[in-house]
Amino acid sequence: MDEVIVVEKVSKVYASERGPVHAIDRFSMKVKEGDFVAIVGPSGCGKTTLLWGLTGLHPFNGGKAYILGEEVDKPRKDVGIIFQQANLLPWRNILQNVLFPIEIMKENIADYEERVKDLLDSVELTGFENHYPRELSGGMQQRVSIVRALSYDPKVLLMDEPFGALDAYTRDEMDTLLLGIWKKTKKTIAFVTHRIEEAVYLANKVYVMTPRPGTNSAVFDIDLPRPRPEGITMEQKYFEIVAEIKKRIVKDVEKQKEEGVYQSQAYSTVT
Amino acid sequence: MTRVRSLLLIAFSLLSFVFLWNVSSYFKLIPYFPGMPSVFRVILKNYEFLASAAVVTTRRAMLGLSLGLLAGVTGALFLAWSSVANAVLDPYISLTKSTPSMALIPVFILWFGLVETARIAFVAVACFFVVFVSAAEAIPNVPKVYQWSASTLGASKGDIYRSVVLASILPHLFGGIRNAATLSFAAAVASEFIGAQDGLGYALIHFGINYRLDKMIAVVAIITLLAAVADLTINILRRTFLRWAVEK
Repeated sequence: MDEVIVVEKVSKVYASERGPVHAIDRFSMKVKEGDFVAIVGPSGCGKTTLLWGLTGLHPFNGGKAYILGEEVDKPRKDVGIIFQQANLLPWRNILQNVLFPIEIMKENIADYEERVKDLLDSVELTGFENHYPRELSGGMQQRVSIVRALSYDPKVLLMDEPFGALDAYTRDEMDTLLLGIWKKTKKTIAFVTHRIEEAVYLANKVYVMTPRPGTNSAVFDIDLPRPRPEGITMEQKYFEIVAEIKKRIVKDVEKQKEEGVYQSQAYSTVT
Repeated sequence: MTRVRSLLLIAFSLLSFVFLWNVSSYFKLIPYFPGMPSVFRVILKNYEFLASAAVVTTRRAMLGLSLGLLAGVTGALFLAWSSVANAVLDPYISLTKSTPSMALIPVFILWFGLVETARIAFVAVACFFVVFVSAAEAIPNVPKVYQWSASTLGASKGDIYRSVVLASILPHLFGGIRNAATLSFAAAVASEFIGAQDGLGYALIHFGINYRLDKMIAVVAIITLLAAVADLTINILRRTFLRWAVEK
């Protein structure tokens, strides 16, 4: 099983108050086992819709998507999802929150407690097991949601701008933390973000989506050393890659404007 | 505001209240208005009568409240489960929100007669609506994101109901229970205004006929105290069982 996520020309049109929205148009992507792929594009280009399609909750209208060789048509136990908001259940303490997936999957909680405690330790949240979400900062809550997604040991992680709601400093910290977790757990990660800098720092490969309807614009292989050396984000080479991707996105937008098909991003996707 | 400052303000407010009460009584600013000392005297003098009236009213309030809560919470749990029930009942819930329950007392007396059942049933119905409506208002506001994140894990409708919907509406349900607890005393007293031979409501009417405003104020004070105790009890329960929802 080499390719864990295969997306073949998927399209998505959904109904909104202002009529049908053509969010994705024949987008394709492949993610190898253990790979870290980022998907970037101007806001509203359908990145989030793509990820929601992969969760199996909001299926695509056209094309096919496969995870671990099986067509995606419903939520799967080998996929972990991390949203922009931590979405922790406020009535459960941290330990109960990270064990929530185990409960839903009707597994034996005792079998997972050790694992979950190790994970909490790896995101420096030991000692917060009995705290309630509202007692934690945004960054801590998002770390809990990462542990929750990892608790049942899924092979694939789908992340939708997971650090978008955090302040710049915490965001950078979380990126580094995520790379540590990735190295340790060897998960296959598809990471949606609108921050090119973040995508380049994290991923092996960056898929660029055009403005809506989102389709393949370009794929960039990120030729930066692994593990990422400290201060890599200050180096010439890093800036060059970031600039190249940004230029690409600007060009896509310009092209659509010339053709008169560019839609300003008046409405969000799945809310 | 510092703690000392707010305590001082509370003390000032209480003292002003006592002062204004007694001044308006002393200078007869309000007709027939008794001073605080005479109210205390009345309570001490009629201790036995007032206590037995309070027991009767409390019994009616608590029996009605229990029945109302039982029906209200059961109804709320059903409403949270069934979107069909939600749609069917929606117009009635919106309507009953504006029905003053006190207007139903004469109707209940007609239905049940001048018996104990009528009074308890009335308290029960009044409490039921408060609890039921509070739940009905909370159900559409259960955050969708929680339901989604459970769905992405493959949660069934039953899973989501148990682990997301019920917990989300619980604080609102508790708010409804708290309102119902205070309301139960008001409803019990009001039900005693018509044709009762005992209870605090009867005492109010009886003292009113005899122009004994001092005794009436004493009864009102006792009702207030009882309702406050009910409110405090529910609040303590809420703080114990819903720690996650209580503000720091």
